[in-house]
Amino acid sequence: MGALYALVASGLSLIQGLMNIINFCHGDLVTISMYTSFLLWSVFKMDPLVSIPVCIIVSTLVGIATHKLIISQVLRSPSSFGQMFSTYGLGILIASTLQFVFTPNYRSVLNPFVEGSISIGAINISKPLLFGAVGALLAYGLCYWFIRRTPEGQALQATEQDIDAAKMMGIDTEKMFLLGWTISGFCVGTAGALLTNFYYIHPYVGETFSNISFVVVTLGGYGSFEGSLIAGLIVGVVETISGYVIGPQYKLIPVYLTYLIVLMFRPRGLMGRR
Amino acid sequence: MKDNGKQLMNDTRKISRGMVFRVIGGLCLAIFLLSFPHIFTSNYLRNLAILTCMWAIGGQAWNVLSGYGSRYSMGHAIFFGLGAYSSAVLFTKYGISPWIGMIIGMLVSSSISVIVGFPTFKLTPAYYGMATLGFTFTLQAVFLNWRWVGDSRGVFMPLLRKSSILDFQFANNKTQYYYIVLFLLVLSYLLVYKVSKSKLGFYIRAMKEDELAAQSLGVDVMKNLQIVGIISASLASVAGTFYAQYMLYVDPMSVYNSITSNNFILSATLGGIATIAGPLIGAIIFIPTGELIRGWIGGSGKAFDQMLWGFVIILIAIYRPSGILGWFKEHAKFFSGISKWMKEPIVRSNHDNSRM
Repeated sequence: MGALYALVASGLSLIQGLMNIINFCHGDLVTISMYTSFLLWSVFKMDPLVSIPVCIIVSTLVGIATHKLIISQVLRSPSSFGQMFSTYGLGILIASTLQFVFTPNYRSVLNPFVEGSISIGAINISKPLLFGAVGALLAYGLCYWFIRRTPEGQALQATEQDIDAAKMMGIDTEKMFLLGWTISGFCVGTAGALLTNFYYIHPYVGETFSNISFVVVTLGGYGSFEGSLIAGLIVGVVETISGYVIGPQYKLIPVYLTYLIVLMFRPRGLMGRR
Repeated sequence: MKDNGKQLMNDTRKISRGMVFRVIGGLCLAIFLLSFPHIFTSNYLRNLAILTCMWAIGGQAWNVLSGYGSRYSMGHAIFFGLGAYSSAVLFTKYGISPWIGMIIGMLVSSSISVIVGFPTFKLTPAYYGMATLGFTFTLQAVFLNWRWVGDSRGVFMPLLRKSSILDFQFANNKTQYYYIVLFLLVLSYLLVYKVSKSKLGFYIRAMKEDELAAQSLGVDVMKNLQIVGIISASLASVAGTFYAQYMLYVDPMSVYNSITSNNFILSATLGGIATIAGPLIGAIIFIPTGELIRGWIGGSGKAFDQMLWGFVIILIAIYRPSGILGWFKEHAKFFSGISKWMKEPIVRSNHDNSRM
């Protein structure tokens, strides 16, 4: 679960670092990708693992549409009000549209390709969770490689660090924004499809992921790609342990308390710049 | 409305058309508001009026912190829910009057606001929004599993057969509820009006413009934000208490919810942030519209109204952050003719100093 949080949050971290805005509809992109996966399963009997590419495409397209229609408009205006509430409103719009189309019922995929659990010694690990973690780490590694090792990725990093300087160096920043949304869509699409394997789906499931992503991004450091991996794993572990110790119904409370404590003592997070 | 009357008495030397219009308009509005439940006897319309007033209080609460102040709250549902729960629980468990419960709810909300504000107010506005958003779900989880406050079943208020203002229950009639909420509305708007005209009001507006500059001029940013946060949380909690006593039922899923927070945000932003009348206008527009849409197109499961509100929030955020009142201000040229005509004095005095 921690690895999936890390994957979702690294997409958010990238976008927030790149655009310097707070993206409140990030969790709803996860919801969209989960519903895509669910739809493909229920119509074509396509396994969630097979539908990963479709999910990536869908969430990338939604992300790019968000950028073109809303965020590029808001970036021009100086008020932080517009920047915050445009994505917040979009989150509501997406969630309620999904509710309108799919009804608010809880859904889940039956009989996926990976099912059951394997046991190593005394520890039982459910297979879909393991697949999710491994898949998320793989996807994360791919993104990491792309950002750190390819010229495009380095241009992206440059844009993230200083947009004006990057412009002067001849980097097409608009293209970089789109690239950022694509990578974010890749992260979210993969995470959504992997989640569909074992997680229930309903229109407001994204809210949880949104909130946890904010915690992870804050903990890991604003705009730090490595930080979100570490922080995601930490949050996953905190959630699991507290679920075990004080009961599964309270498992998110320590996570949010962590958020407040981090803000109090180290607002720039574990690996944040500035 | 009352203020206009006072102004008229103080300033008898000069009576402009605007004053006459304002006084007459204010009186008409007051009479209309007071007689509303007697003109419209259908309970549906009364219900709409009550909900509108309730969310107008809520919107004003949000407006104090996020309109005048500079921290955008995404989770005013926290304070709303705390207000609702504290009065409901105290009333059902110990028979304590909801009016006392309202005050206790205000205290609880204020302390939560201070706790949340302590780490987040010194950071950029977005952090407060994220913290409140997360806190909403924390409280939802806590209240869902807290046996003492009725866990996921919520709290049902016992139905008393007789009406009593002390117990906040009136059998068979919504008129009294309407007067109570109107009273609370006028009270809260007077409070916010006073605050916006006070030193604190100027401080927070200065902080919204430029926090660093305000700080360098000796404004204690943290302290002022905390005070504003407390006012905002208390008002939201008052709305929550009224909600609980009016609905006679509270449950965690319907109170600690992002939709509740959206209502706060919408009624303030739609009307116009950082204005006194904005939240009222916003609530007057959006509550009846929402109810009508829910009545026409599907029930609660369809969420068509939420779709519309999401869209409206995006539009406001992109094109018109100042809301409907901002539109009036932008088209001031058209209205300035009217206002000039309004300002012309009808009774001229001999010693006309530079008051106006």
